[in-house]
Amino acid sequence: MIGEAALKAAADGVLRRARRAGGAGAGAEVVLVARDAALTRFAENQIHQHVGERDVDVHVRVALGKRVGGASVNGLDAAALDRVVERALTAARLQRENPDFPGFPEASPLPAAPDGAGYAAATAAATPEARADRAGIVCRRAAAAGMSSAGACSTSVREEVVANSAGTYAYQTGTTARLLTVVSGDTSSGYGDRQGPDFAALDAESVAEEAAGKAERGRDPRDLDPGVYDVVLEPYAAEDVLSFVAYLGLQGRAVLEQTSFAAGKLGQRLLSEAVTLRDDPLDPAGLVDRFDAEGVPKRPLTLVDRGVVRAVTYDRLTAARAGTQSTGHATRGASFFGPVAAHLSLEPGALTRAELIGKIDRGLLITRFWYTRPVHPLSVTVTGMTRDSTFLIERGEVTRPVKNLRFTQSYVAALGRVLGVGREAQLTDGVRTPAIALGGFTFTGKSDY
Amino acid sequence: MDELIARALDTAVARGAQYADVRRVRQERQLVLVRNGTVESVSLEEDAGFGIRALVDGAWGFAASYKTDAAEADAVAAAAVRTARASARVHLRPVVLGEPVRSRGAYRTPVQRDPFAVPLDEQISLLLRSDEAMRRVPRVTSTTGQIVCVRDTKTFASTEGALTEQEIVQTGGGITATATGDGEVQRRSYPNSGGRNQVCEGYEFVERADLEANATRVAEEAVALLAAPQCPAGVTTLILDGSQLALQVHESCGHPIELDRVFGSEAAYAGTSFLTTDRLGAFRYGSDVVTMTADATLPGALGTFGWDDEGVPAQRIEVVKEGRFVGYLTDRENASRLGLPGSMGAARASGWNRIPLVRMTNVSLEPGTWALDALIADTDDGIYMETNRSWSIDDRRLNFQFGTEVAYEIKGGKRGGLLKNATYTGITPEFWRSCDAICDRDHWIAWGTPNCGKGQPSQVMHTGHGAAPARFRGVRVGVAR
Repeated sequence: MIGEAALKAAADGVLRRARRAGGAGAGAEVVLVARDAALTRFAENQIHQHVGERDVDVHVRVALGKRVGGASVNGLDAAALDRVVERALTAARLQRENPDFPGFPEASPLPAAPDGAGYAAATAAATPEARADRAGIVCRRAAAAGMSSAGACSTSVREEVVANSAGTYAYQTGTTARLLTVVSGDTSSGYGDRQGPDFAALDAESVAEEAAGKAERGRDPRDLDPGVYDVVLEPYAAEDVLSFVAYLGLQGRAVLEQTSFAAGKLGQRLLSEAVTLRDDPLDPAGLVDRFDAEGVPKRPLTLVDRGVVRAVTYDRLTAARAGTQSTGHATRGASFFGPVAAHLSLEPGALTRAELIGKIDRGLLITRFWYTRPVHPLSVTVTGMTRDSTFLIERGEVTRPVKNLRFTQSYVAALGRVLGVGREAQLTDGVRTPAIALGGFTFTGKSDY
Repeated sequence: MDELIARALDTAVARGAQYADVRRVRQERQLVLVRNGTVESVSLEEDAGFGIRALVDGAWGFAASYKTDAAEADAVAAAAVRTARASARVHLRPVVLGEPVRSRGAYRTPVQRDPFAVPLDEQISLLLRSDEAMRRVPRVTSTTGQIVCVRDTKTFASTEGALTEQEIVQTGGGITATATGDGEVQRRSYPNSGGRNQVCEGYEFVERADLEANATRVAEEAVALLAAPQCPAGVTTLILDGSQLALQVHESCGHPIELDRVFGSEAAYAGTSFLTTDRLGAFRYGSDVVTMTADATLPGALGTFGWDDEGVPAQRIEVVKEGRFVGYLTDRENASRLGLPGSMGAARASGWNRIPLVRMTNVSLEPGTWALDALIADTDDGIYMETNRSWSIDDRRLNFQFGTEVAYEIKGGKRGGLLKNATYTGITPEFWRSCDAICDRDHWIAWGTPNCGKGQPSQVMHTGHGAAPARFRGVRVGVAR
């Protein structure tokens, strides 16, 4: 941990240098991201990789009118800060005017995060030995079942500052901890994954039990012909559907460039009434984030309300082009990926897992998707494989494991055929979602395992 | 030797490391990005630090920091040793590295025109002119252009006595045009998908690519695709262009020959491999015309270097010889585990704060004997596909599905009408066994893949893949719109 005082001093130093070198009319923005991160990785029931790093990135944008240049370094020493300001200024001087550049935002009050949300002392204090011991629990459970575990236990502490010449200053700190595993037997595998701010809350026994139990139930899978099946997606698979729909469809740049299914259709019911999707950066059960990479306050945003698309995400540049306000979704990768939602949350329904499965006469229970890639952006058609145990559902009950299948499916169409939403949400890959049941999911190929 | 490096190694040994290595890396990256007629980003990025890998009681630990003073060298070395000891708490099989590696020397990517010396204004102007040409084509709704320059300066030293210094220079660039209308979205890219191609060369790569001269064609093809018929569904003869084939090689040969994933190191993330060790030397991977190599010495290719990140010299090996699977990509630990005499030199780390993993260098399909015109003339009925649009493959690297930006029907030995939303799918060895013709060296290009992901924490690696167009029989196409 570097601490707010040192980070603020560095941010002030950057703004001072930019003002001195660029003149009174120069605007500047600095984003500091400091992190201590560590990861304990295991495979074949033993630790094989074990790493830790300390880093601090300094990203600077200098604006000369509407000419904006950017630069970054890592390190807070005076020479590094001199370099980064000089380079950003050089880039700005060579730039053309960007007529849409809205300037840097003025200070806005940040939303109050729930007390203590997003930061856990146990995560900041986690040692290599403590992570190794969590990994050991998983490895021993797999070994006891005659199986092999692989996975990772990670902890990180991050500090972020955004400051600019228009008066914005924002600081936040947070922690993340995660334990995930794939447990494999001769003919099957299972997956378990927990994440959140608090290392102390990571229940290694439950992760191990979930993955090993799934692998045990998935033994000796049988062939199943590809075709159209109703499915129950466990949260790990549901996350993929929600993330792609938000990334390709519910973001401002895709709407502006007309590659989104929602372009020109805000206010219309485009998904099932069972779908209410929010971006909730203040959810204490998720990974709390109070401001974006431009220092714009983040607040909960309802993207889809009972199937009706209500909003898409913007940073300041895309908002200016669309004639609207930033929703607080600037990221440092926005030039490539656009302003994407990073705290998605699907509103839970009322059904238990058994009741979701009970909705399906003949279909599939999917643990996880793998290597999913968009085939067509407009319909959010995605292809990918199932992984880590897939099961046949017959007459409302799970009857037997089946071999992995390839799907090619419009996620938008699939979210228009929601058969049910589970009541227990889980945080997975930053998305909070329950299991969901979907009708008519198209499988286009199969594997022999 | 660099004082920081010497101190870090000394501290690691004093703390009990049986082996340690240090990499000190500085990466500079310059990006110019034009989008829809405006220069969306001009950025100059620098990332520097050092990482120490320590082996203690047969187990690994690694620590890294952005700070480069003496106290940090001690602290980071001590952290690496402590971490290794913690690993030993859950450890069964001691790491064996094999014969010592004592490489010494310096390597620099040969460049004709240093991309960092090219005025930014020249790069911006080129992209703006290209962008303007694309946007002049009606129904083009968005455009991008980018030029990327990368310079990695790194020193590697180990307790075995290795000491290498390298400067790797990369240059990349490309343009894309997206057209929309009538409920359809279509994109064309040049010279490769993903916004750019990238190589280990200087700015001469950008000059040779001539983005401006290709801009109108790229935009017109995107528009033409809007009204083109859908790629039909069925089983047919498929000819792939070199750039799509490069990604096919990457996904279906490059990844499954990574020896660490064969042993299960990536089982929780990137997956495992169907090319298990019992198949080495015996397995029929492809047809007799299929020979593939891993070659880190290939001039100008994106995966070319002097030594890998364990100090092992760059090498060229055959991985598939006339259809037979014969070689793995290795690091020292996994080569030793398999009983090989040494590593073939494919341990690579994406930066100072990451450990080396087994990564692709330049995994290529060796050229055949055909001219593309002759190959098409020799094909009665089929489809030609070009430029990747989507890619997916299972966790053992068997079941794949690719989509391309553009396709053409082939009828009676002639290239016919344009087709959109083309996809093809297959099972890796069945697909490569169906390959009956590969174009010759005149058609062979070393394509770059600057976005290869692997590892936890994630590492993005830059790899190269030489390929010329090739023909495959009995392939399922038209899986989805």
